[in-house]
Amino acid sequence: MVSMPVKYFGTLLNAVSSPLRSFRPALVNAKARCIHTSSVWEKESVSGDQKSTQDVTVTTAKDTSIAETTSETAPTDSPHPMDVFFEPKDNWDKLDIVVGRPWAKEDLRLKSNSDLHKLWYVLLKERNMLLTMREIFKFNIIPGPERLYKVEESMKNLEDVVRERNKAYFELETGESGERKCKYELTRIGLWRMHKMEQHTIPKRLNKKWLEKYPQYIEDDKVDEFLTLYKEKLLNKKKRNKVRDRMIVESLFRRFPNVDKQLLQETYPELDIEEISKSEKASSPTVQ
Amino acid sequence: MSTRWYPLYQRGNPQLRVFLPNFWMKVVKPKEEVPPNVVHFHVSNEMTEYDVRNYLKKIYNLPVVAAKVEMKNGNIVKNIKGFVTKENDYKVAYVTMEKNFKFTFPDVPLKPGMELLKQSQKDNEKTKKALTEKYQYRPGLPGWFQQ
Repeated sequence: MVSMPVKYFGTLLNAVSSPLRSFRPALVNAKARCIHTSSVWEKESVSGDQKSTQDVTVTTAKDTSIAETTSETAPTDSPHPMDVFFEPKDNWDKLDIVVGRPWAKEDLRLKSNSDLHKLWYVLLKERNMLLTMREIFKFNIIPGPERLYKVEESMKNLEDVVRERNKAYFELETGESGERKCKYELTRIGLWRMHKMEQHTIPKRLNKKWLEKYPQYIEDDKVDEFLTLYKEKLLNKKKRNKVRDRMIVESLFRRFPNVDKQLLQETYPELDIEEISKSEKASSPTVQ
Repeated sequence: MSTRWYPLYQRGNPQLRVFLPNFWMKVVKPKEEVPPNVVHFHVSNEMTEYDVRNYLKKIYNLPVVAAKVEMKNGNIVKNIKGFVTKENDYKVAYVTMEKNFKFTFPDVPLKPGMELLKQSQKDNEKTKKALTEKYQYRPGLPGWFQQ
């Protein structure tokens, strides 16, 4: 049985041939990385002796894959397998850890499927490490706090790229996207909700349990009353937000009379900015 | 993988295989003393015991013997103003490894975080001092105008 040797994920980064090794600025020695001493991981330290072969035979009865990995690649000072969950010891005293930018979609589209598969696990391990470190640094500032967001962004980008490929393949082969279907349904109250579709043995109208859980929409006076009140609430909220935005823009004009109007129009598309700029509240008291 | 909805399984289909797992696991310091071959994790809420075992075996190559999972309620915290809020629920996994396995939770120093805090506090004091020295004597201005 061929299995992957026990290694930290720094080696996996080499497997992915990329010009942007954004998550490990510099690969460090394996010895320097390991947090625990060599004697901790006993099974690896004992290798080549007769006793070790006996141990291996005992373990093969339980699980073959682990025994093989330990027997094949067992240098004397190999890192502890739990070290991957913690930050390397070199970075413990650093105030700030500088890293590159996250993986963009354009970078990931150039990669093959197997490369993306490897990179996913590199990112997954990095995220787990950062989460454990954040748990340790609970109320303190963690060095390099933006790393977690960068990892999550690149994971999201990778997922999107895989989804694109999957969709393209299924549309070419079957004419449909191979995803689970969904549709929007009206609930009993008259609001829309998303419904994930499934196959059922019983049709919908005969399934009493399902009807109890999700009662169907019926035209009703009470529903109309509720909907009018609900819409009014939403409208009032919208109006309030508009007034608040207008006040912000007026104050901006007062403080900075030469502010860029085009940018303001882009940020607040609902407001008429030129009208506000001519109003009395927007004129600054000093310029008269 | 098409979407992040948990894939449907129907009888007769091939076994479910997850190619890009989205689960997270973080190591936690156990509150009580535990034997060296036991490790405690906080895991994402959707994970089952089989998921935990397979995750550690296949991705991290750890010699897992047994894994147990428990759901815990989030703490109820009181705000300064008196509002009561509840933190999110979380799942804990108690994993036992083989006999030879030894692991102790490392003592990571919180130096860098504390130093950063002190630095920011010092910078704030410096800027305050500089501002007060700069605008100490301004004749003709009323007292309420000075900050």
